[in-house]
Amino acid sequence: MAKNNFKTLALAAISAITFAACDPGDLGIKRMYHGDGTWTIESLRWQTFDSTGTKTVIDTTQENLGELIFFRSKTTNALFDHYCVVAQMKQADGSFVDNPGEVFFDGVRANMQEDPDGNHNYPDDLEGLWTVTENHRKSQVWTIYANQPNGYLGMKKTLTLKKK
Amino acid sequence: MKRTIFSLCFLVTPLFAFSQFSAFLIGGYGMGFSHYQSTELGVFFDSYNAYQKSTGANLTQEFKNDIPTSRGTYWQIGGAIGGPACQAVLTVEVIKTQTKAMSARFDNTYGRDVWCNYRTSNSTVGIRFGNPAKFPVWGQFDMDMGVQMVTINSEYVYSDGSKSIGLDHDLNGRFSNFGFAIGLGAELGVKIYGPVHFVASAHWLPNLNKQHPEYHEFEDLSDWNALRSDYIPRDMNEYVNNPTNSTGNSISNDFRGLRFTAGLQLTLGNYGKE
Repeated sequence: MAKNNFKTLALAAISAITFAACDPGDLGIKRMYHGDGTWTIESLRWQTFDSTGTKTVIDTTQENLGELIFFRSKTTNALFDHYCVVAQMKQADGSFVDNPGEVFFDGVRANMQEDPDGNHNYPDDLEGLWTVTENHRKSQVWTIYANQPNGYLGMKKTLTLKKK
Repeated sequence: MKRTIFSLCFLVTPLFAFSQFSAFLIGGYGMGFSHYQSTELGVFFDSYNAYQKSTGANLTQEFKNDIPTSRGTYWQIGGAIGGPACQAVLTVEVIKTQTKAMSARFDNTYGRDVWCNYRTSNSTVGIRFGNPAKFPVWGQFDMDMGVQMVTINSEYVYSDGSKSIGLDHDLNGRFSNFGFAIGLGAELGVKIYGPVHFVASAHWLPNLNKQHPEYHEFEDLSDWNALRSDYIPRDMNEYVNNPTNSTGNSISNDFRGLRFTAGLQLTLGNYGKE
């Protein structure tokens, strides 16, 4: 009886410690290129603010803009951990245009920009240093902020991605 | 040379004083905690608070140099060899922890959050005492040597609570530095069932270099920072007026203190067996 109680307590202790210590860790770019690396651009929201930076003046959202495809291969900017990414943007007629670029992602920040190939043209709306606001296995929310000359918040852009 | 060989024999022989030879592999996983302090981070905090007040900003909550205890995980692998009641242990472990945010706020609810990540990769050499076959508790004295990476994250907080670590503010960024770390500590283990032990440890990592070096330690090495300041300043006035002074005005890495772990250890071999 005492031995069974001890075994039960032991199993409970093992489960508690394993659960408490469970930590998905900082997967970085591996989370983005995992599987086929394809994420749907669910929405891109633009907000502009008044001179106090507190009230929203313009608030627009574009939905289903296309897809981002992350690759395991690094670009020529490998020293700074830049990986290949393609923005497959949906056109008005329903067709898609591929735009290769490069991305840095560490779970806290994401930087997307033109890659060194002069023939490539990455979408301006997706370029910049994003703050990773939400970092989940199947969804991501990234945000970019820009200030007005008076130092108050002027523009906020929010990108929502869903793992395909 | 002869003296070295004699000393090694003197240290190692007691491990084999018993007739039964003990050898086993070790695997461990669990929670890690670090309670570090940094005088250098405090220099930045004091300067930030003073600078904001000098500009007329109403700082309703100032930075306090009291780094919270970080929390995270660790894993270890290794082995041990010796007698049934005394073994020499060698393990390699990785500990990753993160603190909660330290905050400064202005009366318009804007502000700044700073939090720290620690990642330590070290080798531990220890002497373990105790025979779990006879009594389920053992103790171990350790010496650690390894590399510790400290990352200071600095983000701006807007009035709606949203946070930015982007290019909108110069102090935003992830500033990292890694350096050599040594420590001393002890572990206490309790055999739970079979080869599974519950282990708790405490290690002290002293600050061996108390001098502020005149070179750039914490850096945010990202290509978008090529033409921006990529350091945490000691003097905010100098930072604003002369941002290119990244050598003389950059805080250094003096993060040291206590590290604790609590977790499970699996031993594969004849450890703790009759």
